[in-house]
Amino acid sequence: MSNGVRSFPLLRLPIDCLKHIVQRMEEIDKFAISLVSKRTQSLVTSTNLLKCRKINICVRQAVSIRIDLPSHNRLICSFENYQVQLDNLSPRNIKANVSLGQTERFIHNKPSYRFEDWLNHVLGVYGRCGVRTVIFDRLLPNFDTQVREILKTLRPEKFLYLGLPTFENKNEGSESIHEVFMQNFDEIILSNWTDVTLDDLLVMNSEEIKIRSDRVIDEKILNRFIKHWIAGSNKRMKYLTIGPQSNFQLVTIDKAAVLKGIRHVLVPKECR
Amino acid sequence: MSCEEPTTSPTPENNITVVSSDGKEFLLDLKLTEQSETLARLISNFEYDRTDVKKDPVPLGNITSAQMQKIIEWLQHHRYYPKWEQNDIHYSTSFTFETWVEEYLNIPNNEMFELLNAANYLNIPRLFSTICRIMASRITGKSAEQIRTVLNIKTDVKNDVYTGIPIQEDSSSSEDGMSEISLSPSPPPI
Repeated sequence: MSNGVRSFPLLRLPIDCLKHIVQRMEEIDKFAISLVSKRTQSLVTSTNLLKCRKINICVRQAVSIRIDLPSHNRLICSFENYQVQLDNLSPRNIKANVSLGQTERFIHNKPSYRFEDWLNHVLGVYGRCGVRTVIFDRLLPNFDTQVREILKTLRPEKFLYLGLPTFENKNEGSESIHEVFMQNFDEIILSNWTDVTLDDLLVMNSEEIKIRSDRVIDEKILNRFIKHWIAGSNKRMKYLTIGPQSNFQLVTIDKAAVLKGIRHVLVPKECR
Repeated sequence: MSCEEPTTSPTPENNITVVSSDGKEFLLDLKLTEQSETLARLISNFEYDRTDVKKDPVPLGNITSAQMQKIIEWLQHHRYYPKWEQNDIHYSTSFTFETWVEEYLNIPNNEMFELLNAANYLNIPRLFSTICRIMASRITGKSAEQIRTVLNIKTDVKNDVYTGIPIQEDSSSSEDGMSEISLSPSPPPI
């Protein structure tokens, strides 16, 4: 056999051979291959070798793209330095800490990549056109002024989770929050939410709304909303769920006040 | 995996001759060729398994004598193994190879590349699959940058700052001391 440099020129193999090798790689290695160059990205994309169940985005201390794999493992690209500066909201050259499950495997940065490019890369190689759920546990610095752009960037398709314990002064950003409520999601979950107003409820356009809060909505507001809803105010909405923050708590709500003047049937517990 | 070696020895009628690209002849027992779908089909088409048929040497213009030697070593070792059945083609943490295979494939990546191409050309599924799995395992746990080095992939297109003309495309280098081989049709553009 020939002597020479100990490298394996993978890209010189016929496409079928390439597929066989990539198929046998661990999921995170396939993803790493897609980051090597445009050609390897195109190889991984065109051979349809990367599969996932769903892609979510989580905005916590770091912003992360979470890819749920068919093996029920999770690949996470976490960006510590995304959206930390107000004067440069979408910086290039952000570093991704790529991990599989609990184990961090490598750090990668593509100099030209902004967060949007990373997301497009992930969606492209996994053959998806949008993110299933976006979870906000904190607001991005420019959320109030650029909510549309943010949603356009993060591209949630079905679910939005807003868990904003520090977002006390909601009135200041109520217009931007209404922009979010107006989106046609399958489900929107408001967690740790306080002071849900009638206007908030009336602009909600998702099929299912879940509100978890320790402070229960005022019964009169709820009663008025249900009457509006019956009259056709929220055409897409099918279910409204209101519950305590914790599953172990009980909701203390005056049912009679909520349902006053509304024809209704009480469903027995065992049928729920 | 274990196998029993029978006591029968191959007779001259059960052989065919293959000729490597550098003109070296190899006498191959027909039993060995069963592991290569390419050779087995050729033998079947030209009825080389019949004793009254003249067996012309089979030219293997894409395989060097060194590669053929290595391939024969593999075929000999697996001579009495049951027919290869493709099991799991996906990643597995519990995949192990027998010691002989580990030693056999303890070769530099560039030699592995040539052997993989030869196994693909001769269609020897057990060898092909084994090399694919070993190559996949050599990537395991590496960052994108480390993979770039192992696979000798150059960076993406960069335009010349003065002319705007692309300087290089990402591709595996052809200047790495590899022997020129064209075992299969040119790889299609990816």
